[in-house]
Amino acid sequence: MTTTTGADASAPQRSRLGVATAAGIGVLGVATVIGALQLGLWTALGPGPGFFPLWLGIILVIASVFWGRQQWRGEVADAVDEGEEANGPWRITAMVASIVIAALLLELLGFQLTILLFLLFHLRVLHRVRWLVTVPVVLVGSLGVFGLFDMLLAVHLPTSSIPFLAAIGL
Amino acid sequence: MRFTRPLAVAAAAALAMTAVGCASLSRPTDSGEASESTDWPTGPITMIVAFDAGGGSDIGARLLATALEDELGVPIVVENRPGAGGQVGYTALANAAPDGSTFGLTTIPGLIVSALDESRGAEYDVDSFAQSALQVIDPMAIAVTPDSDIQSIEDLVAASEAGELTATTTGIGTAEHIALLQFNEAAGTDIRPVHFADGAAPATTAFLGGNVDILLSNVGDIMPTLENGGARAVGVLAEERSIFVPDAGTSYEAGIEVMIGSSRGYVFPDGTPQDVVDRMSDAIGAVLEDEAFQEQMANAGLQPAYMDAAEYEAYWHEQADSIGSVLELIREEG
Amino acid sequence: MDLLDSIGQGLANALTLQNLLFALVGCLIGTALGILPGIGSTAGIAILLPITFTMEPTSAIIMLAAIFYGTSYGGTITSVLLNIPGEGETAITSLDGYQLTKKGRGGAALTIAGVGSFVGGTTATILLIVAAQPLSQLGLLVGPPEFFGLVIVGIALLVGLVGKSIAAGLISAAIGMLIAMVGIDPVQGLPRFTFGSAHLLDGISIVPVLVGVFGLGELLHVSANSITRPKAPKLRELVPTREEWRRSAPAIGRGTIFGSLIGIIPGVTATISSLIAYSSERRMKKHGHELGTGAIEGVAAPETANNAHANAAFVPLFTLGIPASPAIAVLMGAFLQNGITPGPALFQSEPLLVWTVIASLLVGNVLLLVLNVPLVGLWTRLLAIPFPVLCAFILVFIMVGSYAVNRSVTDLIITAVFGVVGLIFRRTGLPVAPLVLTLVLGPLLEQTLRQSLQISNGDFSIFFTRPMALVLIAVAILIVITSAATKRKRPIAEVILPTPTPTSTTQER
Repeated sequence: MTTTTGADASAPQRSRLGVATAAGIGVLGVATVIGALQLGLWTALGPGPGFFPLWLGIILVIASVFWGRQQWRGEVADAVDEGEEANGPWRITAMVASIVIAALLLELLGFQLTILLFLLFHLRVLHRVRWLVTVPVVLVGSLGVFGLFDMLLAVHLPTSSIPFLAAIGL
Repeated sequence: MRFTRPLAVAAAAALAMTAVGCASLSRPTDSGEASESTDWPTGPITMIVAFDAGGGSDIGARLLATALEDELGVPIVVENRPGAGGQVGYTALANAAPDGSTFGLTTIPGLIVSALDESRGAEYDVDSFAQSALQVIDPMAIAVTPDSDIQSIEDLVAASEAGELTATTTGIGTAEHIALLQFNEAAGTDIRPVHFADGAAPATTAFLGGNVDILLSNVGDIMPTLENGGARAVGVLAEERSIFVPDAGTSYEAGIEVMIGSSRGYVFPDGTPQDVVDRMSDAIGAVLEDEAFQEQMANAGLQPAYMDAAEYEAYWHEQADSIGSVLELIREEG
Repeated sequence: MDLLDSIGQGLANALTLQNLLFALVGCLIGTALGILPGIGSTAGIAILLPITFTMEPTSAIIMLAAIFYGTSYGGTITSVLLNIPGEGETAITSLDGYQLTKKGRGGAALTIAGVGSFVGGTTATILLIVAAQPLSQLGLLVGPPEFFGLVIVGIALLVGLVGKSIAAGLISAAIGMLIAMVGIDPVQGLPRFTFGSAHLLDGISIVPVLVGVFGLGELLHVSANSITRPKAPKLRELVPTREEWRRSAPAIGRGTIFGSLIGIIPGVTATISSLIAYSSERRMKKHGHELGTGAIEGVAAPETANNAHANAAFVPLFTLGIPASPAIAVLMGAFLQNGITPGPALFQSEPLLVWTVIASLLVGNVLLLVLNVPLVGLWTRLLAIPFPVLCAFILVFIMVGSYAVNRSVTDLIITAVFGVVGLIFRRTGLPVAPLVLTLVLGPLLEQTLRQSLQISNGDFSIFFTRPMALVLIAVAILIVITSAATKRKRPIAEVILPTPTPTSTTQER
C-alpha cells in the first residue's frame, strides 16, 4: 500500500495516471480550439459562438502542460494511489461497463428486469453477498423501486419493448 | 388515478421502498398487440408531451387528457419527454407505433422550426405526423410599459421608425423570434431582438427593469404581467382579437398580415389508421364544447380554437410554408 | 400596525388545523422528494398540482409551497451522507458534507444544515414581510449587464476555490465551462459540440454530470473494504459540538445575506446562491484553507444560502408576478389554476390569502426544523447498511436519478462518463469545486454578455455606464487582485492548500 499525501509528499513520485490525464486534457484542448475556430469567433454584436470555446481550449492546452509537468515531477501529490483501499482497474471497468450495459438494455428489457440483472451482478459477482441478503435486496431494488417511482410518484421508468415481457408487466 | 396519494407518497418514502413490494401493473407499450382499429380504443393511450411537466403547454394537455379519459373510456397516460425545445419528444412521437396507442401534443411553430431547420438534424419532417385536432391558438401579444406613448400597433410602427426599439424573445428560432421577424418584414420596421433562452422570467424581468422596450409573449403567458399592471398590451398578431385582451388591436386591423402564436394540437405518428385519427379528433371536439372544460382552460389562460383533422392538416402545411421562408431570413442574418 | 395586523391574521389562518396539516404534508413530501433522486421540487409540484384542483386554494398553495422549500432539506441528506447531490443547489454541500461524514460528523453537519436552513429561510421570509416592495425594485435593477457583472464576481471567486495548483484549478474550471458550452449556442442559435445528437441540443443536464462526478466517482474510487468508508455515527456524535456551533454561526449569517439578496433577483437559481456562499467561505482567512477537507462552514453557508434563496424567491412572485425559478413557475400555475394572479394587486384583492401563505412560510420552516433535526439520527442509520447493499442501492438511485431528469438513456451514459471523470479527478488531485462553479455559471456568462450587447447594439460601454454593473465588475477585479496578492505574500505552505482527499482525512485521525 502506498500513500503519497501528508508526510510522504516530500518524496516526489511520478504519477503515471496524472501525466496520461494531462496529455488527454491537452488533446481535448487542441480539439476544442479546432472546433471553436470553425464556429466563428466574432459577430457584428460581439463575441461569436466560438469565442469562449477558443479561450477555454487555449487555457486547457497551457494548463495541461504546466500541470502535466507537475505530475511528471511528482510535485503535486496524488489523491490516492493504487492500494488496497482503492478499487483496482478490473473492478472499475466492471462497474462502469455494468452501468453502460444496463443503460443500453433499459429500454429493451425494461427497468425491472435490467436492474434485477444489474443488482445480481453487483451483489453476487462483485461483492459475493449471501443469497439470503441478495434476493430481498434485488427484489426491492428492481420491482420495489419501479413500483415506488412509476406508480406512486408518476415518474415513469421504462417497461420492456419485448411484447411477451411487457405483457407480464415488466 | 395515478397521482392522488400525497400521504401515501410521504409514507412510502419514509418506509423506503419495501412497502411497495413487487406490485407491478402493465403499462401500454408501443408494440402491444396491434389493435383492430375499428375497436379503438381498446386499452390505455399514451400522450407524449414534449415539454416539462407544469409548463403552459403541459397544463393544457393534462387538462385535456383528464377530460378525454371520460370521453373515450380508457386511461390516458401523459408522458413528459422534454428536451431540445420539444425535439426529443417529437422524435419519440414520430417513431412510435402507428397503431393508435400513442399520440402527442405538438406546437407550431416549435415543431415546424425543428423539422425544417437542417442544423437541428431532426429525424422527422413536417410529414411525419397525422394531424388529429387543434386545441388552442395562443396568439402572440405585443406589450409595452404602461407609461409608454405607444398605444397601438400603428404607434409602434411609427416609433420604430423614429428610433431604435428592442423586443424580448425566448431564444433564437422561437415563436417570439419568428413573430418579430415576420412583423419586421411585413411592417417594414427594424425592431431588434434580445434573446432570453432561459425563458419568460428573465425576459419579463429585463422588460420591467426598463432594459428592453417591448415584451413579446403568448397571451396566455403574458396575462399575469398585464393584470399586475407591469405591462400594457398594444396588439396581438392574429386575425381576431383575443378574449383575454379585448382592448388590444390585431395586426390585421393595422394592415399587417402576420398571424402567429403558439398553436397547440394533437397528432398521431404518420401511418396511423385514418379512422383512429378522426375518432380522436371528434373526441377532442366534444371535450372542447363542454362549458366546464372551457372554463378550466380560461383559468389557465388558454383560448380554445378547435380544428378537426382536415382543417388542422391544411393549417399545418400553410404554417410550414410561411415559417420556412422566415427560417431562411434567420440563416441569412447569421 | 397595519402590517402587524395583516401578518397576525395570516399567522392565525396558517395555524388552523387544516392549513397546518397541509403544510406538514407538504414538508414531508418535499423532504422525501429531496431524498429520492431524479425528482426535484419542480417535477414534484407539477405532479401534485392536479390533485390540488379540488382543494381549498389557500391550503393547496401552502402545501405546494412547502414542497418547494422542503426539497432542499431532503437534498442535503443524500449530499452529506452519500455524496449524491440530487440537485445543483446541494452539490457544493457534498464537498465538505461528505468529508465530515467520513470523519463521523455527518450527523452534526445535518443538524447544522437544518438550523442554518431555518435561520436563512426565516430571515428571508421576514424580509419578504417587511420590505417586499423595495426589495423587488432592487431585483429589477438587475438587468442583463448587471447579471453579467454578478456572474463575473462568481467566476472571480473561483480563484479562492482553485486550491493547491493553479494549473489544476484552471483545468477543472475550463472543463466545467466547456461542458456548459454544449448545446445550441445563445449567439447564433447553431448546434455547438453536439456531435449530431438531438439530445445534446439542450446541452448536458447538470444533474447527470454532478451525480456522476460526485456519487459514482466516489463509488468507483473506494472499494468495499476500504477504511475510508463512512460509518454510522453514534447517537451522541449527532449533536454539534460547541466549537462547531461557534464556527457555523458566522457562516450561517453570511449564507443568509447571500441567499436573501440573490434570491430576490428573478431568474437566478438557488444553485448560484449556494455556490457564491461556499466560494466566499473559501476566501475567509481563518478557515478558508480547511474547506474541502470537511469544514463545517462548507455545509453551513451554502445550505443556509439555498434555503434563504428559496424563501426570498417569493418576493418577485408576490410583488411583480414573476416566477423566479422553474419551481416557482409551477407554483404560480397553481395560483392561476385557482383563479388567482400573483402580483402586487393580490395584496389588495386577496390580502388574507397572501398573508396566510407568507405566514405559512414561517410555520413551514419551523415544521421542517422540528421534523428534520430529530430525524437526523434516523437518516444517519443509512450508513449502517452493509456497504455492498448500500452501494447497490446507491447505484440504482444514481441510475433512476440520471434517467428521470429527461427520461433519457443518453443521460445514463453521460453519468457513467462523468463517473470516470470524477474518479480521475480524485486519483490525480484535480479539484472538483471549480468545475461545479463554471458548469452553472458558464451558460449565464455567455447569455448575459450577448443580451447586454443586443440591448446596446454592440456597444461595450454598457458595462461601464451603468453604476451597478460597473460596481460589480470592479468588485470582481478587486477580488482577483487581492487574492493574487495574498497568495504571493503568504508562505508557500499556506498557499498550497491541502486537497480534499480521502487519505489525507483518514491520516488526520
